Amino acid sequence: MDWKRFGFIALIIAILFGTVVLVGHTASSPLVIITSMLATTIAVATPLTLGALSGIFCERAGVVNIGIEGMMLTAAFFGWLAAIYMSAILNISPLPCLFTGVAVGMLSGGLMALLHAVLSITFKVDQIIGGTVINILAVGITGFMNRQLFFEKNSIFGGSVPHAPGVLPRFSFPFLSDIPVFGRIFDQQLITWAAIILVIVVHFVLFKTRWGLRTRAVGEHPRAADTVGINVERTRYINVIIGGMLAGLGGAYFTIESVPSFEPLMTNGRGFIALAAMIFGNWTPFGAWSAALVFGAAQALQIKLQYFRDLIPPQLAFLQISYVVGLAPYILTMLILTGIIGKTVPPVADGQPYEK
Amino acid sequence: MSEPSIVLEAKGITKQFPGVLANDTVDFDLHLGEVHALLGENGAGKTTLMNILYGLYKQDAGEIKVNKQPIAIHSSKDSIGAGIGMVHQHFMLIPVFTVAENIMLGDEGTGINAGFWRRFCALFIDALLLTTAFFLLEFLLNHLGGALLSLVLLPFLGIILAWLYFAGLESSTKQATFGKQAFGLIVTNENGERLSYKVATLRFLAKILSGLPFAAGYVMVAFTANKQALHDKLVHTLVVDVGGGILDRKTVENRVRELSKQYRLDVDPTALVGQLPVGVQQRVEIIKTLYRNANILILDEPTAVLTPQEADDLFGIIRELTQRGVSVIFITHKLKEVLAIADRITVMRAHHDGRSRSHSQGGKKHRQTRR
Repeated sequence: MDWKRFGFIALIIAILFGTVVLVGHTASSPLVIITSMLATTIAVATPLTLGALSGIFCERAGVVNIGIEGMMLTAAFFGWLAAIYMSAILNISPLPCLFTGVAVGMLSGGLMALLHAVLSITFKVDQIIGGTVINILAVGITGFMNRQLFFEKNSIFGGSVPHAPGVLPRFSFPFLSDIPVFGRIFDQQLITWAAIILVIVVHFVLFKTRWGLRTRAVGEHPRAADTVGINVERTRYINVIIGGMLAGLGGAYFTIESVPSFEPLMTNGRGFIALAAMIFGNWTPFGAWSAALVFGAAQALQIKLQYFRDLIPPQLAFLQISYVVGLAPYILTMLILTGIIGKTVPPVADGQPYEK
Repeated sequence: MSEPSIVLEAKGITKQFPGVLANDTVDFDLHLGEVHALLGENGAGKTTLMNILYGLYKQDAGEIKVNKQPIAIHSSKDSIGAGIGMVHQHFMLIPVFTVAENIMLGDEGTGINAGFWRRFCALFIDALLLTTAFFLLEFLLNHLGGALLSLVLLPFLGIILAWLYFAGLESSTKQATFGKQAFGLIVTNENGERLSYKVATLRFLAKILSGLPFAAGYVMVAFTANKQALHDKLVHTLVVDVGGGILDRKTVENRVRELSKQYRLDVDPTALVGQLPVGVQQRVEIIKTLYRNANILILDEPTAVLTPQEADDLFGIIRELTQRGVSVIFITHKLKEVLAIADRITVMRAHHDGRSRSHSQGGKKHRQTRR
């Protein structure tokens, strides 16, 4: 992570936070606004962070994964489905149901990744096409099953969605969350904590362990890895599946942590923004996380402006139209991908099937 | 003059590619400490033969012997294991990795010397176990009363104490070993001499204070007859499989420095490979094979990418290697180089029907005088 990039990230976040402070300063103190913005930013950046980590695992091993979006959507649906099924059938307390939901979500993300791995590693299908297949398949499966299970007459739930077991509880970091104003930042839900821990874990795995060294070797120069006895295909398979499970965890965020319901297409392009975060972060976990925080801040801006909508002064009235602010993450993505903030270097063998 | 000992022998190697018979019953042998040049025009099958020896291809027929033992080569792993190393014409190096990372790739070591992480893993497991023990204790206290409690609690405390004891004993760097006596254990030091209980207890306390590594395993160690075997197994599981997954760059870097000094290769293990000149990259490739204890070195067109000066340096390195008992197969186009370096020459020739055969030109005719 070079300074230019870091400066850019800090600048954008400052602008986004500044806008909200400007709008809301009459209602509450800037410090409170900034803290709550930060807390929201970290929370909404979770699926982006996990998606980016998923991409890092795949692409560091040399498999382009544009199917993160699809893996997330699948995981969001099946995780939620498992949670409400379990809650409805067993009639137990919500927590075990939610954990099962998360596990099922990760599993379904992993299965989608397995499909991607079979297509792109074994059958050497163009990896962009493979990822597109995943995305389309996910939209189809989740949309179809959602309709069949819940909204058709004679379906299992008889045309009504059963009561959902709620969302994952918050976990307050001991001591840190007791700090008067800033404590709110350390009061997050479980998947958000998991994402932050995973950023550190992935960094460690990638750069400090044997597995990481081999993964990066396979993504940089698979033939060289092969000549020293590393099984290229196996390494790629495992990494893609791990990546899929991380995307699955990111998907579970939507239906098990954020809101307790599913709607078709609810990932809403987050998987692609995660991909952009990964690229902007130069395929490193911490870089990707900070990029994800920028996108998260843009989204937090949207949320907070809605909250302060009565206070928006006339000269900022254009912000009232939610489309304008909602566009921010996408505009940022394009801006970042044009490369004006420095070029990024992908793994050399990224996207190339390995021919022995 | 005694018969030179043959380190590598290939007999009747045949390899058929779709439409091309690349090797047709090729015979080849390599003597200890010699430079054996392999000549031939493009498409004569030199590289195919070498790729078979290095396990990148599988021969259709023929036998390969290393040190007179026939071996089956299924992958480059088998070849590396047999002591064969190959420097490919296009280097198999990763530009964004350091020299040490390139060399350790695929053979990263056991990580046993990764002291900090070893202790970290051990302590993590200990912490996990102690926490579990604590909750178990709490559970028992809540659910069992009075007399029953003491029945459960006392043996439990006994187990904890025994566990601490063995943890302390074996966690030191100076490994204590156990012997068995009628009443239990006698404590011996690493040389097998018996320690008095006073000394043993003091050691034990010192070791307890230095942490409780591997305590998890030692509960089992304490109750098993074959302690050493279980201990080895535990160390293997914890250190090699868990801790060994963590890279030990320092040890590899030192080893590379050592090798580079020993063979006068002059390579900095911390440099990024992509920033090194081609000649140095080639030396990294050579160290990569030496790191894996190769004593048969295949150099595929090694001078093709080098400047004349670098080529001269390479010849110096090759002489150094052969003097230390490494046998070299030198594949080339250039006759001048062959005359300069080779002890024996084999010419591979493509027949008009696409077959190839080898003709060895023997003896010490072209032998260079060595220092």
